[in-house]
Amino acid sequence: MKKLKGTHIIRFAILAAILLAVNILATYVHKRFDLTKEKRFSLSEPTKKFVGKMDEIANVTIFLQGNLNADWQRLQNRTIETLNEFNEYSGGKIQYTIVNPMEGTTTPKEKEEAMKELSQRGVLPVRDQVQQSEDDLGFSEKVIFPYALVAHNGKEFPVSLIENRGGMQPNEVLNYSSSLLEYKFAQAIQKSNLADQPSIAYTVGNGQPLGVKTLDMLSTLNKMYHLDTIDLNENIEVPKIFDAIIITSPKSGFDEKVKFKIDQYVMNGGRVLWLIDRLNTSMDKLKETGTYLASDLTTNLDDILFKYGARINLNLVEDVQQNAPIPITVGSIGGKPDIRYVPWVYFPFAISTSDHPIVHNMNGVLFQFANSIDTIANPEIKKTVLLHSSSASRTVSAPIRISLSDLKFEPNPSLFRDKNIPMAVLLEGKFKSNFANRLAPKFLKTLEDPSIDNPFLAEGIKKSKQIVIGNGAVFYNDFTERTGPLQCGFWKFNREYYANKAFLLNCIEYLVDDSGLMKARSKDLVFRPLDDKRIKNEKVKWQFVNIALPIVITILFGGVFLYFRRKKYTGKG
Amino acid sequence: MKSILLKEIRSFFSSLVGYIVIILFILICGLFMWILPDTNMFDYGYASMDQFFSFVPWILIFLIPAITMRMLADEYKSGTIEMLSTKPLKETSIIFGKFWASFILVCICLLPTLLYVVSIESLAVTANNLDTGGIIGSYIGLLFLIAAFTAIGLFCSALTDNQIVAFLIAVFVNFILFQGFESFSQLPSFSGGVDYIISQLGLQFHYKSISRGVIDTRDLIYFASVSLLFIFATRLFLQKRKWS
Repeated sequence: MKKLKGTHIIRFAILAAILLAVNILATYVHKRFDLTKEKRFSLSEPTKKFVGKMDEIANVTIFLQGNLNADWQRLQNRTIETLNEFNEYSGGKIQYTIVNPMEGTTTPKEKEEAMKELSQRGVLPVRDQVQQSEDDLGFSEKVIFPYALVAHNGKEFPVSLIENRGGMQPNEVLNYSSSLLEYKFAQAIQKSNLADQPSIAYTVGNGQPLGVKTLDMLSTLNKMYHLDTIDLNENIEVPKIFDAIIITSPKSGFDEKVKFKIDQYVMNGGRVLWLIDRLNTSMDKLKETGTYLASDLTTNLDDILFKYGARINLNLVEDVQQNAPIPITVGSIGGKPDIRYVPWVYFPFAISTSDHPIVHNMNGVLFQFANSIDTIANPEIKKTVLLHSSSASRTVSAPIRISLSDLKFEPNPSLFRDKNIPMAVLLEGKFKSNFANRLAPKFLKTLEDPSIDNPFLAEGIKKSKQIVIGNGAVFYNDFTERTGPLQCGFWKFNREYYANKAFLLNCIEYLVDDSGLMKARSKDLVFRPLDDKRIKNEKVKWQFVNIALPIVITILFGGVFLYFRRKKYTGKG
Repeated sequence: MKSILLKEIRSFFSSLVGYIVIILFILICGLFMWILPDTNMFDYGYASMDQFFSFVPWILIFLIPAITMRMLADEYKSGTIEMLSTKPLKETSIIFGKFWASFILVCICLLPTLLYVVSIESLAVTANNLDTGGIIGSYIGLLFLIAAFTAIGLFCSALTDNQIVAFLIAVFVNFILFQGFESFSQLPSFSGGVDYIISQLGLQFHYKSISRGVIDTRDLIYFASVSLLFIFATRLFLQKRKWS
C-alpha cells in the first residue's frame, strides 16, 4: 500500500510540473484575439514595436484619482488598461502609480500650494461639477487632475488625459480622450527617449512674417522642438541637421538660387511644410477701402512645387457652408455703429473626413483667403488630401475684386456647386529634383569639388515628406489690444477655437517622425451611451424585468420539473 | 462519467436548495446590476456589460462553493463513495463527472444574465451598436474562471466530509487565488517589477485581461492549468483512501 502512495504522489508531481512547464512555454509563444468590435485593446503596430524596444523603465504617475464620477473613473480605467497593454509588449517596463494629489491636504492653503507645485510640473486642475443628489439641483464643485506624468530617462513629461473638441457632449469628450491615450503616452515616452529633440527651421528672407502674428505657433513649436530661423538668401544651403523647414507665406518671389537650396535639401531627405499664399490679400486694406483687387504675389514657386507633385492655383476658395463670420457695420442706431457678424465665404474652415493620422478626429481648420491645390500625376509620389472645402463651395480665379459690399447680398447657394476642393495636401516619396538637366556642367563640377563636396542630386536619396497648404494664415494667431496675442486658430468674432494649432503640430510631428507612432491617432472608439430619457422614465420597468422575470421563470421551471418527477415516481409506486 | 453527470444535475433540480441557489444568484446579480448605487447600469450610462463582468466574480466566489460543496463531501459522509468505487468507475471519471455537472449548473445560473445584454441593447441610444464581440469574449473568459473556481470547489469538497467546512475552505481558496495575489503584489516591497510577476500568478490578473474581450492563449492555458491542477489534486485525495 505504501508503494501505491508513492506512485500517486509522484504522478501528481509530474503532472503539476508539466502544467508549470506549459505555462512558462505559453508566455513565449502566444496569440491574442481582440474580439471587441473596434479592436479597442490592440495597440497599433508602430506602438508595439516602439515599446518593445524600450530599455529604461518609465515611471508613470496618474493624478486622476479621488472620488471620481463614472465618466472619470472610466477614463482612469482606460488609462490603466492602455498602460497595461504597453506592458504586454514592453515586458513590464512601464510602472504606474495612481495618486490623489489632494490627499493629505486639508487647509485651503495647503491645497493651493499642492496645486501650484503640480501646475509647475504641467499638471493642471479641471473643475468638475458634481450633482449632489438626484432630486437636488445643487452642484458642488470639485477639483480633479486628469493628467499623468511620465518620468523616463531622467526627463519628465506631463500627459493630458483629456482632449476637448468643440461641440462635444461631456461624455463624448471622455470617449474621444480615451481613444487618444495610446498616442499620447507613446509620444511622451518617445520624447524622453530621444537624445535630441528634432530640429525645425522657420525660414525667413522672402517676406515670411516673423512677429506677433506667428508668436503663438512659434513659441509652441519652440517648446517641443529645437526651433531656429534661417534666412534662405544668406545661407549657402539649408543645413541637413534640420529635420524639417517651414515656409510660411512669402511675400516676394524666390530666386532660382533659393529654390535650388530648398530643392537639394529635399533631395537629401529634408521635409518641408509649405504654407503658400498666391494672392496678395489683406483684411486691413479691405477695412480701410472697402474694396480691393487681389493680385498675384508672384512667389515663383510654381515649377518646384509642380515637380514635387502639387500646384497651388491662382484663385480663392469660397465656401458657403463652412465659414467664419466677420463684423461689418450695417448702419447706426442712436449714433452708435450697428455691427453685425456675417458669414464670409473667403474664410472657410475645413473639417477632415479622412482617417489619416494628421487630421483624424479633428475640429475644423480655419483658412483665410485660401488657394486651391491640384495634385500632379507623378506616380512616384503618394498624395493625400488632408483638408478640403465643404460640399457647397467654388473657386474664383484671379484677378478677384474683393469687396465688403458683396456682403449685402446673401450668397446664392446654387452657385456653389463644387465640393471637396483640396486646400492641404501631403506628398510622400522619393522626390525628383526641379533642377535635373537644367544646370551647366561647370556648375555641377564646382559642386563636386572636394572643397564643397556637395554633389548635385537629381533624385532624392531617401524618402521624404512635404505638406503643402494653400494658405499662410493657417499659421497665424490673431491678437487684441487688450489681451495681446491669442491662440492660433482662435477666431475672436465667434469666439471659436479652430483646430489650426493641433493641425500644424500634427503636420510637423508627422514630417519629422518616421517611427509611425502617429498611426495610433487614427484609433476610433465607438461611443455607446444609454438613452438618458428612457433610463429616467423606464427605470422601474427594466429593474423589474431583469430581476423578477428570471426568478419567475426559474420557479415555473422548478414547479414543472418537480411535478413531473413526483408523478413519475408516484405513478410507478 | 455521463451517468454521474446526469445524476448530479437531476439531484440539483430535485431539491429546493438548487432553486434557492439560482434565485439568490439572480437576485444578487440583479441588485448589483440594476439597483445598488455605484454599480448599476443607470448611473453608469453606457451600453456595455463591463460593470457586470467586474462584479460577477465576487458572487461566483460564493456561489460555486455552494454548488460544489456537497459533491464529494456528501459521498464521504453517506459512505456512497465506497459504492461508487466498487462500480467499474475510475476516480478520474467520477471527478470529471462531478466537475462537468457543477460547471453546467453554474452556467445554467448564468443563463438569465443574457437578459441583461438584451435589456442594455434595447436601452442604447443607437440600435445594433452593441459590442457583441467584446461581450462574447467576456463570457468566454467568465466560463474559464468558472472552470477554475469549480475545480477548486471540488477539491475542497474532497478534503472533508463536512459540507460547511468544504464551503468555507473553498470560499477562502477562491478568494486567495482571485484577490490574494493581487493584494500581495501591491505591498511596497515588491514594487519595481516583482509586483507584475506576483499579480500574474493570481486569477484576477488573467480574468481582468480576458474579460475585456481579449482572448489571449496565455490566459486560457493559465485557467486550464489551474483547473487541471485542482482536479489532479482532488484525485490524489480520493486515491488517499486506498493507501492505508
